[in-house]
Amino acid sequence: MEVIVAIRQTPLLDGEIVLTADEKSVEIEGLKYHINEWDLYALEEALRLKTEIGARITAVSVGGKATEEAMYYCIAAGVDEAVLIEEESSYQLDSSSIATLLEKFTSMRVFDLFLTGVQSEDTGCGEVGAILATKLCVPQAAVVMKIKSLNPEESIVVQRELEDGFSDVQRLSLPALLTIQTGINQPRYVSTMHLRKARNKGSIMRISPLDLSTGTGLPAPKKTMKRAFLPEVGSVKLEFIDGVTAADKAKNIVDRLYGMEVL
Amino acid sequence: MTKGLILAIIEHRNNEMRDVSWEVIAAAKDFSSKFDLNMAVVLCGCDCSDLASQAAKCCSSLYCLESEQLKYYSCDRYGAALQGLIDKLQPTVIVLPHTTQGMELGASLGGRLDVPFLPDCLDLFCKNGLWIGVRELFGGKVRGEFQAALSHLVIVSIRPGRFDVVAEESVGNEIVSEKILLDSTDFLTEVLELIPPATGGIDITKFDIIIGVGRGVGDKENIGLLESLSKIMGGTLAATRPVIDMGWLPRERQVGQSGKTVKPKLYIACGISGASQHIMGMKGSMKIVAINTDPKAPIFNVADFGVIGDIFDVIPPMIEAIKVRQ
Repeated sequence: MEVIVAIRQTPLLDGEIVLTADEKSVEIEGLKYHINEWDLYALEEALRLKTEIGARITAVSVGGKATEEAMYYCIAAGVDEAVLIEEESSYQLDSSSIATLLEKFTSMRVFDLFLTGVQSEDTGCGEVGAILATKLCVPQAAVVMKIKSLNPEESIVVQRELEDGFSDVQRLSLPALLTIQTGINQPRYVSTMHLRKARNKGSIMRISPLDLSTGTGLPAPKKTMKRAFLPEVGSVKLEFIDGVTAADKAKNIVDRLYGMEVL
Repeated sequence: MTKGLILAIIEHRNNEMRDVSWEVIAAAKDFSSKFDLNMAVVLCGCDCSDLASQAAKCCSSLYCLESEQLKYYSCDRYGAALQGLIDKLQPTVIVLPHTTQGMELGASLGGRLDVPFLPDCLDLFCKNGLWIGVRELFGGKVRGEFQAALSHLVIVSIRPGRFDVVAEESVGNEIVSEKILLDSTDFLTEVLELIPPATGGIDITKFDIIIGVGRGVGDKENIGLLESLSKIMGGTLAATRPVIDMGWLPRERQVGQSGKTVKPKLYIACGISGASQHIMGMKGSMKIVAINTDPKAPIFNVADFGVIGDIFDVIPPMIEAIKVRQ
């Protein structure tokens, strides 16, 4: 069974957020990256299929040099193949363009299951999976919380997480695409030793977007971010509790809560 | 020049209209007046005339697309059913709620029709004929204005809870029912069952005081401290999704979009950054205290009281201060 997992690296916004000079985007220069949390669960789900039924796993990502680290991680975790669709300006690509690149790549392959995370931590559009499935003309199920059963080369039964505690169960013919929800499994720990080995010995298959398209360059985006801004945090009702030390603040908030008879 | 049209896709589950449907109708009304568009609403389902009547009370034009195949939501069936109506009405804007259904359906329709999708919008505006959606990035720390590429149609999903519900009785509301011919063999998916929420276990919605545990707690062992606070206050523990996903607390304690909605007298958010999905589940609390080291954490958008500090430095003295009073 052939399983493809789409991986996205997202920048880590710890500390102060800086916007680009033109205020069109977040300044990502100098930021650290990690694999999008949802994609880690998708990766783990794929690797479980490898363990359980000997599926062959391909990790694919669209990104620049910084994305190599994510690919080495996937190799260290146990994928059979890591593919990087190399594009330095990938951070400017929208979901539609990424889905188009993934579609071109995937249509050159035979696959049974394509997994993506539900959404990315940074842009949070949640679109790539759905657009990709539609373009590949394969059935899709979003927000999968459990793979209930699998009949390789035939069908898969999944449970999907809905709101208000509801869930549904759907059967999809294969090949199919699933977007994976966090909490479906416990992503495995990848040791530094394995990571080092992957960086030294692992090989990433590199593809240029030009190899994938009909030669007219990158797919045109369906939306572009024109302005970024840092929203004001707080509200009219917000009051920050005074205090020099944490203990002072603790006493003050308790006093306030008793004063309002909440406690 | 004929006026454009905004088409709102409403949502129901288990024979009940979902609250987001009223929000999306309110949003569509707001947009139709702001952008000078006609408005129509569409409901897909099976034997859903009751739901249609309910919805029709709030809009002047409701399309009800019916088929046995539409009994449960699935992306492919809804897409197939809506295709015909979209072709007929030629809307300028399609609006849906940003829910598990809406986000998938919106993206899928966008892919199918090759048009832009602006997901999870806080607001929408139009500048020089181009649609711009205001969206959050990085869990709410940043916002961006996303401009859709020039297109005859743009699909927009709106953030649940963002648009006020307008309960209005429209006059002359029309229901146009249409039986859609769909066959199960047209599809490669099958919805086997809809599972209602599990019952039993602890019901955190019954508690007056809730201590919310966020990622800032760091590790499962550290939850003991928050447990002590909860105990001395006579409350119960709840948690954000990441804490639940890591197995540190059981899922029945999850508060948020995919968990429970709580409205206690007091919610103390400990080490919770305030991602929108969590806020959706607790913003209705009477009083909210947020303890966080980051004064810019989005949780402070809904908090009444902010305590800037490390929960491990703040909570022990809080427990002591309460003990003194008891």
